Amino acid sequence: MTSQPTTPPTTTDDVVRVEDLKVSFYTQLGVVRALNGVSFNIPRGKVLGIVGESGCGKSITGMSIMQLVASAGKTEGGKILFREFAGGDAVNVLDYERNSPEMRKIRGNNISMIFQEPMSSLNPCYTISDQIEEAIRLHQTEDKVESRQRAIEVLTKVGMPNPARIADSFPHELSGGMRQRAMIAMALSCTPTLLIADEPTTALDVTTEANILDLMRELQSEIGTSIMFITHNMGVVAQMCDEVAVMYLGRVVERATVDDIFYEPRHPYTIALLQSIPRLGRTKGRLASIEGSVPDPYSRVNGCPFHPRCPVAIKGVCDTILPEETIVDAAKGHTVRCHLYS
Amino acid sequence: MLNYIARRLINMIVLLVAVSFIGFFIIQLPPGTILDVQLQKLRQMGGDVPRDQIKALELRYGINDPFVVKYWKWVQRSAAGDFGTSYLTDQSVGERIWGRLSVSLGLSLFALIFTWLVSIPIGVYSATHRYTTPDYIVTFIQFIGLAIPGFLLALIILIFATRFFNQQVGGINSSEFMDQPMSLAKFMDMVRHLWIAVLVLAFGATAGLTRVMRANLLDVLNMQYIQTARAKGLDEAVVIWKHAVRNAIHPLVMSLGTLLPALVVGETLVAQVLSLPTIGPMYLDALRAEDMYLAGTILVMLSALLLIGNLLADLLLAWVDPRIRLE
Amino acid sequence: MSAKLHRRNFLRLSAMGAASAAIVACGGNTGTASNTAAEPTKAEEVKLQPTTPPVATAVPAVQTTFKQSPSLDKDVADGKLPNVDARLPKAPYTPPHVWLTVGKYGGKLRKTYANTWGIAGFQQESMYGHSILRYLKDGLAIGPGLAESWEATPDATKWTFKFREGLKWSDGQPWTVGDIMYWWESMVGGNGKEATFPAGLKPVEGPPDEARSGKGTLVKINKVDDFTMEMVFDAPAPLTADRIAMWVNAGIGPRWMAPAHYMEQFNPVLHPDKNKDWEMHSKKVDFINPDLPRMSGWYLAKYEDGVRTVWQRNPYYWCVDSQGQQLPYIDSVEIAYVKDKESEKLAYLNGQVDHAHFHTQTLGDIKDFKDGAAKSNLNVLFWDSGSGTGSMYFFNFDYKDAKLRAAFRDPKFRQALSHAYDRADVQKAVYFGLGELSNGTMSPKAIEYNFNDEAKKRYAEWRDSYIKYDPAAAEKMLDDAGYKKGKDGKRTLTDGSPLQILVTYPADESPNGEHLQKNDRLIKNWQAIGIDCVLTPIPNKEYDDKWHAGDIMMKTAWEVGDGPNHLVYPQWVVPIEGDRWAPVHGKGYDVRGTATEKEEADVDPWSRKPARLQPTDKDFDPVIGKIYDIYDKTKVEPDVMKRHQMVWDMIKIHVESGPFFSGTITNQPRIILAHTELKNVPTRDDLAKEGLGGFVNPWIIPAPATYDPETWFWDDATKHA
Repeated sequence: MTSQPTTPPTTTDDVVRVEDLKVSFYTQLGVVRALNGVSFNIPRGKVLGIVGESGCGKSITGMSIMQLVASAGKTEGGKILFREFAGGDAVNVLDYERNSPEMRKIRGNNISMIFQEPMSSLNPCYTISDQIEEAIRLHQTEDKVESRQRAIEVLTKVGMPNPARIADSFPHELSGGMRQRAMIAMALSCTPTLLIADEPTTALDVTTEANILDLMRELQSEIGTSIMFITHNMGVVAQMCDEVAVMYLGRVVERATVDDIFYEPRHPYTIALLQSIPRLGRTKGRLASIEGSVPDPYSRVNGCPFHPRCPVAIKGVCDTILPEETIVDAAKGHTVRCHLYS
Repeated sequence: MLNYIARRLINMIVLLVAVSFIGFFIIQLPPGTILDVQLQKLRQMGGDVPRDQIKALELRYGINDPFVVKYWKWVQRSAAGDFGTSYLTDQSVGERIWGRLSVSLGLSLFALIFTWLVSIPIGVYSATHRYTTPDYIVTFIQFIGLAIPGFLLALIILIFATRFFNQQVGGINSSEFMDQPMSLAKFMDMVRHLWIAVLVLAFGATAGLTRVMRANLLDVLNMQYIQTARAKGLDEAVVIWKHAVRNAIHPLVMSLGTLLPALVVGETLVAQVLSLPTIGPMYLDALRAEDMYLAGTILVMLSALLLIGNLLADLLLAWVDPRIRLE
Repeated sequence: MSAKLHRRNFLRLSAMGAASAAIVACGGNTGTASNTAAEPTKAEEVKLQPTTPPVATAVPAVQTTFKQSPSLDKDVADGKLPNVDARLPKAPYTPPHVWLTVGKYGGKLRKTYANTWGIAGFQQESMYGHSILRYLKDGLAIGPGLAESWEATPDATKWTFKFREGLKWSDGQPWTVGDIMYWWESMVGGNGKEATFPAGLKPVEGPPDEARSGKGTLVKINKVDDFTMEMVFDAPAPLTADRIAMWVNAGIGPRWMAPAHYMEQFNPVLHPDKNKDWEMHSKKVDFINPDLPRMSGWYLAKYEDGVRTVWQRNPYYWCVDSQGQQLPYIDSVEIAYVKDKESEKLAYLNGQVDHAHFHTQTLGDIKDFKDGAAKSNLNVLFWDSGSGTGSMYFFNFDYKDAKLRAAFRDPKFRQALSHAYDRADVQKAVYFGLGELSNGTMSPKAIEYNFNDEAKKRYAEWRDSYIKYDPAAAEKMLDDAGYKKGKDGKRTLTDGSPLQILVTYPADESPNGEHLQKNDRLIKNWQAIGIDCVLTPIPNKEYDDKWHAGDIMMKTAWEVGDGPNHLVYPQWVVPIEGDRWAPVHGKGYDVRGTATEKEEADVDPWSRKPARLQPTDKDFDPVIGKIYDIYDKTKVEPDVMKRHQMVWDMIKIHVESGPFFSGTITNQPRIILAHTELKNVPTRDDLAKEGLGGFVNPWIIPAPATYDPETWFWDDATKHA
């Protein structure tokens, strides 16, 4: 791998700065190189969308920041620099043991996470309030009355009708949307610096999805939390994000503002992704799909990993040399990994 | 809720009546009667039993009463708390069962607590350290535990223990302690006698339970809410014990349903080998000898315990897991 | 007097070294018509056995120096117990055995039992305390028990028993003939009392054999006074004393007595207001009831179901040693319940047991016991079992199928199969080479085989008949008798129809037990001479019914151990009941003189209920008829020598027309384990000096009660507290 870590072009204060992160999974079938040198930054107070197909490593990236990757996954290089306050010192979370007190202090307190499946991401054996209070008591206050009060407050904040009653409900008594609100409430209960949302609306119906996205946006502006929004849905990206990182096979292939991604996409993969979005008014013909499929995770592809599927691949170049990250618009922080721009 | 319990209780009584009738019927089904057993015994002692003697015995045991008459007599008396007489020893059935119940329950509860105390942590360890050397060792021991019958294991341990630790064979106390009131010394003596039984009973049960615990926990650990808990910043130990184990424990709670009767007769073979005065061996003897009233009473008692155990397990499960609702 | 001389002769000739004068006198009682008393009246007889302690009754001086166990001193001092003289009868009994030494008091005896009833059965095999009379010298003699003397009229129709004055139950209440009358009249309904029982109430126990005369009618028992009982028969009943001496009574065999002062309150006949049936009475009279007063050396102090029984010294026990010390020596006996045979063996090897009487351990265990002696402290003693057969087999003489029955009744057929049976192989493989090969007899200890040289010759003749292992001769016998081999090499019946023997046995027999091991070898021996035979298990509970009906061919899992006298236990020699070799004849004999005898006369004998053959039936076997004729005469013959002669006549029929039942070996030993420090436990040599080397098997001669465990003692009781 010749990928040279380049400093992301933005100079604003970043909450998280990921540099050349490499994670591999050692399974009985072989080694899966899930992340092959991921670098990106999350600007403070912004929403960064991470998009890509299933298996591109976007969830692993989120998990890595939380240090929650399953034990079979090994971090083999790179840094994850977390800066709690603007101008404060950055810590490399990878320096901490997974289960160390320092890491646990960050988790849930400074960085929290919402998952894809609202149905299964709450423990069925405990009430909503139990589960929210658990985090509050862990990080904020040990006082039972106060923690209860805060739990109800945060439930109110996420727009729960009758929050006191909901607090004493068990997860199975709530609908999917309500559960996701509860999850958000839990995630925000300690007013984290960063919220990692891993496809938080994928399992929800469209109306609920819209409500939840509205809510997140609203809370983001209210609390000022940075959000890393992991999704495969370009529509959601458009609605939620300030900036976008497009991932393919364990690498960020394009990084730009949300406008640039939609209006000036550079990477052939980004372009292909955008073409696969259904649009109003364009009702005729088949929806475009990306030719081919994501390669077998156990194999390694020489050159640009996208070249087997790329419509504009340059023979002799794209299939041999891995493209470096190239700045296409320094002002907007638009970078891309493609031989077309190098 | 109360409604539900009341309904279950009524069902239980109906079931018990049915069970007692069918049980009674089956107990007396094999050819021969208690009289044959007694005669065989008398003959083994070398005697020929005179005809007059046989007639007297027949009368005493009510051998020629029809089945329904025997059953009805027993039901009538049982309702009044008198379960009849055990033919084998001429003692009252209640007295015989009562005399052994405490040892049976004590032993089994001991073994049960031991089992749970051992198998839950080991299962958890095994699941959280999957495919490590300790996990393989634990798994190996578990399969041995499942494969060796308890009575054989008891005998093997007994032989070693007599050879190397001067283990006393049989009983629950040394004779010098039998007539004394309970004291620390007597308790220690009892432990010295019972440890093999507890170990053997717990070993087999632990093996099974650990496997179940391991498999369940592995499933639960893949659940999203475990990641949620971790994401909160909880210590891994809290994640496992508070969030994972509680969800993995269902089968263990369900197994409580069959536990009450198992507590009473589960140790039959082991108790047989170790000569412990528990209900199991007595039940076996009663069935073989067609000691109707004794066998029938134990049967009904076991059925009642099974039903009560299931009810308790259901209630407990509802408490452990709020998703299970009682309508 | 001439009869008496005879008896003395045979006793002296019987090669038994030592016996007390009292035993000689009492031994003479074996069915005699004229017995005077138990006391040795002639000085010369005492001189003959100077080392033997005289029976206490003969030495009144001893009475003034009775001593008791120091463990009772305090209770006596506190006034809780009367002093020892007041507790003992006027004339206590003294065990007379030649091996006895004067013992010391104290200690505990630890035992185990592996079966359910046995835990309380200590009484049933170890204590003669309830016996009116007892067997001595391994059955060669009868001695006194609760009765100190007894006599019969010359025609043996009236028997008088004189009991020891001052006998007491273990609760201190006096024992009287009333306690016998209570059993006889208020439990058995004897003396016509059954007619006075409340409506619907039947007797709870049946009358024993000794309550019937030679003609089969019931005795009338009279209480003459508190210590004198009369039995009045309508015909001679010469075996009365022999039969009364059997069993330990009171829990096994006929009860003969119950503590009336305690039992009356539970009796539904005497107190129909309080008891509507026998249930409570049965509970209370059971030997496991600790409240039940006893006459035995130890009384049951504790019964803990499935745990143990504890027996304590009976302070009123009516026996003393030669020094006037009240027995037993050992304070208490604790019997632990060890359910599993292997665990019991471990308990032995582990030194947890002081004495074991052969119950579950077999000859195969000897090596382990010898090897483990250092830790177990147990001596392995061998006492003669007295078995007449070892594991045996016999055909159903009354098998339902006529063709097969003809073969089973054909002496040549049975004799040939006996010659084809390799007994020596079984003796070696199953019995470790012990015992002697035998065709199968009654117990070799039986008096009819032992009292003189002629008797021994008669025994040897029966024992040795048809035992020579000679397959060639067996084949020739079968060929000559018409059981020829077919084309397939299998022998047929004489008419050419197929012959297949189902070697049947009870399904729950232990596969490693002696019987099945023997059967495995037996069928190979028979198959070798062309007999088609198959091992066939039959469910236990069906066995008896099918056997009685003639539906089963063989019994192969039994043993003859009975003595001490052919006539008190004649079933093997004379088919008088349905369990042995001629069940349908036996059932026919059983109903003789009853109303049933005349019923169903024109019905096929095997279709009668129960299946039975009577002398008028064409299938009635004349050989059995001959045996019946002789047997009927013995029952009313008062002269013992004439009876012995008749027994020999019946044996002759067994030799000539037999074998009716076929044994393997005789008199293999039984293992007795006794602590090395336990004294007065006889060795086989001791037993041989006094009697016949032991006679362990039958319960009617209850070993070790016959050797008085009350006399066993610890040299240093503090080590066995």
